[in-house]
Amino acid sequence: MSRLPAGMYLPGASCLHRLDPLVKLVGFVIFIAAVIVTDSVWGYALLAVFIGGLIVLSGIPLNTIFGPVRRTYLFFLTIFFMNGFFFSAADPLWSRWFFCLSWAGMIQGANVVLRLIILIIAGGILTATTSPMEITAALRRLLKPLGYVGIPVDILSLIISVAIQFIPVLFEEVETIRKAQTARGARFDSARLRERAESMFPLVIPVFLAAFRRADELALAMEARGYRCGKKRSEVAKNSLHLWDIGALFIVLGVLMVQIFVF
Amino acid sequence: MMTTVKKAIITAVCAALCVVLPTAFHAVPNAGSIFLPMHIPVLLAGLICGWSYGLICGLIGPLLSTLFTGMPPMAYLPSMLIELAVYGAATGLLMSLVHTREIYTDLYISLIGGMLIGRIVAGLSRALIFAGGSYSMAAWATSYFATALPGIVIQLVLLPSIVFALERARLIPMRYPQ
Amino acid sequence: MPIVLENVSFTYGTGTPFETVALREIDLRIADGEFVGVMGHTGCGKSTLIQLMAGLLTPAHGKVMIDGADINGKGYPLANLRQRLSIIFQYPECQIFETTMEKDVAFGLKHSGLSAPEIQAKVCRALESVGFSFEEIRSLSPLELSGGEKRRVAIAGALVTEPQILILDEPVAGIDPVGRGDFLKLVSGLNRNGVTVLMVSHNTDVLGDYAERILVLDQGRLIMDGPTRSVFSDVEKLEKLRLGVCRPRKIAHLLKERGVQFPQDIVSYEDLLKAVIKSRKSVAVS
Ligand SMILES: Nc1ncnc2c1ncn2[C@@H]1O[C@H](COP(=O)(O)OP(=O)(O)OP(=O)(O)O)[C@@H](O)[C@H]1O
Ligand SMILES: [Mg+2]
Repeated sequence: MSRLPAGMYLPGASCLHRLDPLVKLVGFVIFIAAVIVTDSVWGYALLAVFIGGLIVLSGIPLNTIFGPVRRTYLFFLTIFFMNGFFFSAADPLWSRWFFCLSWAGMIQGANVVLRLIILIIAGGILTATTSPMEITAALRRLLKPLGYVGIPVDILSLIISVAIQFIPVLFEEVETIRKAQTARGARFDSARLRERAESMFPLVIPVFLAAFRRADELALAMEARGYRCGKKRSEVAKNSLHLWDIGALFIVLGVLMVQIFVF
Repeated sequence: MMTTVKKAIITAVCAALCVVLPTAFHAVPNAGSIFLPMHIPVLLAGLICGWSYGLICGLIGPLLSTLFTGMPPMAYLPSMLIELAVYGAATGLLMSLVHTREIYTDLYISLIGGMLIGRIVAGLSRALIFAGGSYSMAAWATSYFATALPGIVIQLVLLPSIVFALERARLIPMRYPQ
Repeated sequence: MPIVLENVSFTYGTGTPFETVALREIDLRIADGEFVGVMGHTGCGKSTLIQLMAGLLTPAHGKVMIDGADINGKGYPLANLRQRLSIIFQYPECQIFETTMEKDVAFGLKHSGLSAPEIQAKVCRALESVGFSFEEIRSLSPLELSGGEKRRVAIAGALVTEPQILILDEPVAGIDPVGRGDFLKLVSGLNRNGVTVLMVSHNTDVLGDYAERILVLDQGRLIMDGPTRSVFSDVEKLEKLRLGVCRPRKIAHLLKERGVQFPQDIVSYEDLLKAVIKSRKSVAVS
């Protein structure tokens, strides 16, 4: 794993780190809903306080949290102006062709950008306090009930776990192929768009060939050992939720309810 | 015919490539938004394994990518999941419906159709979820077609080449065996 | 095009928790036409070293100079270097992607500025040097070949630029003995025509047979560098490094341990044979 670009996970022992990953995942989904329904200044203030509380609890350095937001400010500007200019309002400040600048549009733009920033920070807290393995395990627990409505959950979890195994392997494969083709003269960093586009071929085609060859070998090996989709595999029983896990869920739900009914 | 196990493993490998391929283009400025490297494995899973696997790959791939590399950031994940899942499902569905006896024609029809449907659905979902209904046609057209045009062209050339190479290397069954 | 490394260090993953120092303070000079073997335990930095020489990695400290110019300097024409230096990785067949053999082998000449007939002539020569008949196979798909044939196509793809420096990373791993022999003959033929060859290998026999100079790396440091005979003379040291020496040298060493008078400057099977024949003759005379 060491060669992967470092993800966002920061090992630690804060109470957010120790919260059940399933709760964090569900909480995050509820929080997304809360952010989407927010559209008043007081609403945003509540979200800010909530997020601030989470940051303090998690003990993650502020740089880690705000880094991704800072790095993508250009993207936010684009979103802001796209909303600001393309919003068709009745009382434009200025308009020409299909550009149309208006107060309403700018407020809309600010709304969208604020929501995105809050979600990025919340997502950052989730991934910084929960390892990818924990999240995928929680995801599988979350998916389990789908089995009762006929969705093949075992195939889904097979795909997830095999995909995770393959990530580091394929990462190295891609690096090797990139180097080999660079040595043969492929121009991945050319200034010309056309050359860069052409350089996709010597990289991407061999990567897929290598990946499918590995897939082929693994599938053959699994079938040879008698693996069938649909057969039950025993899973280690998970501890049930603790009191604080349930408490945390209620707090997030509370935020959502306040956003819907109060603001 | 491919077995369920084989289809599942291929889908898993494609999902892993959703994480890995974009990192290969990190060094290239703006490659992510121009070349859309994450779309390629999803479209391929749909083309080769069918619509349900394309859908699964479109959901799992971006999710794993966010978890492992932090790209795309969590906040863009929901709209990206919807977009990619639709690409995978739509291309897969078209591929199973269209049989012209000419593999390239099948591929182009499925790819163009899938990309179109995916962009329409993604635009709709973005309008409904993120901008509260005020997201305009023009904004949709610029973000999904104008800036993505090079990526679309590349995918239209690249994906048939990949499918062709995989058939040649006997890693997937021939669609129209001679 | 001599290769010179001045005080080169390299670290992977700088600034992450997984920082690994792969090379430390390497000083090295490789002259034109040398055949240099590189050995060392797994993870000692061999691949890193040769990738630095090929301009695929940039050193953290120090300079890599080829033909007197710093290849990581501003404005250095790396594209030009790629026409004169080729590198073959362990499983080169993984780089094949074109629809025909001819196109795939020609990939390295894409930016060479040569005319189509010139390119075709070079591709033809490269494919024939690895034992294919150009006219028969030029328009076949390289993806339908067997593993060993694919490897030969990939090697042709690296040789097509007619490089002055050829770098090989574990080239003989996973080929059958006949293929290995053919390949090594090809490489040593190129070397005789003046091509500088740098070969990373765990196979001490191959190095003993072909390399005239050996570099030994240990934990990122260059700890031995000299003519094959003198590097292989210190059997104990190499065995302590868990590397060992080539079999002919080992046999000579074992004979000496048993108290047999036997020359110790042996590295290839050829040397061993000569020494055995000579000692038989001297026995016969006395
Ligand atoms: N891309 C990478 N990222 C991080 N560390 C790496 C990377 N490549 C190599 N390393 C580390 O650097 C060190 C030197 O690696 P290198 O590949 O040069 O060794 P090697 O001598 O070629 O080994 P082998 O004989 O196994 O091929 C090792 O500790 C290795 O784990
Ligand atoms: Mg190596």
